[in-house]
Amino acid sequence: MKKKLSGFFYPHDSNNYRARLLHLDSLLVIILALIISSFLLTGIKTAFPSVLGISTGMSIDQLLALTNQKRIENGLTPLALNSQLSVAAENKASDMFSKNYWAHNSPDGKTPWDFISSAGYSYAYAGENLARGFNNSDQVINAWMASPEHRQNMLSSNYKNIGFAIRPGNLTGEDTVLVVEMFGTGIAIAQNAPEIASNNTIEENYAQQIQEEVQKTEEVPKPQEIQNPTLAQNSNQEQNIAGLQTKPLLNSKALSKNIVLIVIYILIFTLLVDVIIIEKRKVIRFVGHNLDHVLFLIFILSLVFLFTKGFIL
Amino acid sequence: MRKKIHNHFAYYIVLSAILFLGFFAIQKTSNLEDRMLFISIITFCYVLFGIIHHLLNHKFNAKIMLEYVLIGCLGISLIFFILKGGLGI
Repeated sequence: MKKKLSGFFYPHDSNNYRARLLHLDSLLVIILALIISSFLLTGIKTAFPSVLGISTGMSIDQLLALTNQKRIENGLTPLALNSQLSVAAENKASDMFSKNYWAHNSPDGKTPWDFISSAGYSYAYAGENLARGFNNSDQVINAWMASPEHRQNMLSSNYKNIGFAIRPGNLTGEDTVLVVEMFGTGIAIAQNAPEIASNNTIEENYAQQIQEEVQKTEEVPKPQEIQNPTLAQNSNQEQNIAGLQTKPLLNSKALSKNIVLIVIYILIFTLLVDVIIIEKRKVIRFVGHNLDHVLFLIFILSLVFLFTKGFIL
Repeated sequence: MRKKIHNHFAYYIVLSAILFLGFFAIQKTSNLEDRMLFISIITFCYVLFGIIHHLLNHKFNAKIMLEYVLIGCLGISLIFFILKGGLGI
């Protein structure tokens, strides 16, 4: 048994001096197994979404805590979670999924500021960060902090409030988890702190409109009392967030990535062991260059990391 | 093995350059169809380059050709598995 198993990875006389795993029939079996299991995974995802699907280790509490931690580390005041900005973020995420776009502005020209305004948040300053395809909150925050524009939003002294949405779904043909982070400062707060510095990234300063907006807000009741249709969607959105918490047993993205990485690492290991042993024993055989295959598998490995990494916008 | 690498140094440099430039091109492309086209082209180049190298420098037989074709197919099926099974594309 032990000899049979070692023959799978080590070249010797019993396997014609070529690791059994590298024989043509073994390669064919691996290819077929990968193709069949990719369809199998898709089938399981559709039939049993509670077992296999897109899930994430992210939560709004974690994102808020990490954002505020970064702000405190940089000598800034922490941001307060605002339900209206969270509604705006939820609406933006829904819009992105329904209209299938990955951008700050929707294909029909809707800007992030439209979502913030329609959620009933009268802002003097506002900003938006987007992320997709990350596995946990740390990765998202670190990716935003590594990008100068997103970092500027996270560490802007202009903002006092923040809202988040974490939504799983299919975006531009890919099953993913979308994170929308909305920043803002209400008009009343901005008026009390007129010395706020301007941020020229993905942020809008409506300083000139403040006076008009103030007049409007004086005429309407307090935000909690506004009969805003977007606020009526709150219960649905809470269900969506709750749905994310009842996440599937297995994350399909992580599962497939791990399977592929294991296959590639085993093949690279076997190819290297095979060529080292054969060179040491000076065995003459007519096969392809193992180093060619190792280089090609490293290329495929790089692509796997490229396809499974998260994106920010 | 060191001698073998030394003898085929130019070959390995060219192969590495093809794969590296291929990865660079794929990284710069955001469209999935274009990415898949690039992966197919790079894989085809890898198979063709290996076969030509064996034809010119070594004893060549159908088994060697099949080995390169199968490793190329394996690479594509690994990517297919990630995209179809993992990302649902």
